[in-house]
Amino acid sequence: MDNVAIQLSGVSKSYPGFELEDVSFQLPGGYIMGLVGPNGAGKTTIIRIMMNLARADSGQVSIFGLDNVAHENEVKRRIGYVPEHHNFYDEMTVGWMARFVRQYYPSWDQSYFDALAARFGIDVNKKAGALSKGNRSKLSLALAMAHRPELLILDEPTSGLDPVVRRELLAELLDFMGDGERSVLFSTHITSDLDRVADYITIIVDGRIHASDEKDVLLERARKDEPTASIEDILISAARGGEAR
Amino acid sequence: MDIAISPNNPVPMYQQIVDQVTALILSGELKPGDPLPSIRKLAADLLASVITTRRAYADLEAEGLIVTRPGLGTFVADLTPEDLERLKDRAVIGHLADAVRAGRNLGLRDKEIVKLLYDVLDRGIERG
Repeated sequence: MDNVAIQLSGVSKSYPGFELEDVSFQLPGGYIMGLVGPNGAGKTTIIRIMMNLARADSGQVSIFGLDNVAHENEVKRRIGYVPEHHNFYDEMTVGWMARFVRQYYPSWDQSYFDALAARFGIDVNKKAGALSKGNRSKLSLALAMAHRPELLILDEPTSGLDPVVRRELLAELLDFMGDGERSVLFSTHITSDLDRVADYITIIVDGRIHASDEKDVLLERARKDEPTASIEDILISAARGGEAR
Repeated sequence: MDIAISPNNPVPMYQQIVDQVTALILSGELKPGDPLPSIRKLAADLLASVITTRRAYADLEAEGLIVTRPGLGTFVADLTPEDLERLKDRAVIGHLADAVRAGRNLGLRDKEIVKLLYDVLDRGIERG
């Protein structure tokens, strides 16, 4: 698997009071990357630039080897995106939502969506507004997965969920990965989700990349000093201004 | 395959997989020629990353405990009973060497270390 799912090169963007500076990292196809950082570090901005919902001032984003702006439609058809805040039509049913999303994706697999909804315990006849918080997250994920995208981009998918539901979602993600044809970028500040499943970790602090490497490599380096170091410890030391790699 | 790993264990996750698969093979629970799950299947079962699981399989393969047959999958290596004995000895010798090192570091003479080993054998390891 020498294909590259995501490649960011020198991406910069400034808003009043916030700056994303020279962000570069790469996710090889077939793996899960965790994008971690404190609130306000720039995770969501990076994801919005990747989805062409925000424009970078400079730098380049390439997804599946294609420029994400020049080839926006093709790229987006091959991505499943779960934004931080789920925008559902609360008055409409889950089944209606699925039909609504389906029209944008030629590769939509209705039986897969139905199977996911069943596995997640979501009643397709229920109104979206009547779903619990956990079920809203699960529905969002099911809607993003049902066209079997090659890349899932998840912005804080587990935030606000209880540990049992988080564990279910992680298991579903690993199942979705299949034989290595799919990749996942997963932003979170709940680093314990990544201790298990992430292949790569990118740590972002104050709009800059602090480290981007294989998780096992980052852990091994940190555990030379502190034998029980976790991703959380690495993030905290990075946020306190610890030495970058 | 009945193994469980935890990210909170200071032993790296790939090493936890290596240790537990090794134990299953040396104890005979997994027999020569038995199939192992694919890397991606095992990663999904354990909720571990693919890279972690791949590294564990690479280490097990380097130690001659498992073999990967392209297109067929991964299997427990065709270890002879002598191989198994040798590997078991090696696994135990490593721990005994640690114990000897710990004893010598504390200034015990070898004779005293041997005596302690007999004490442990007599009393059982639980209280050892």
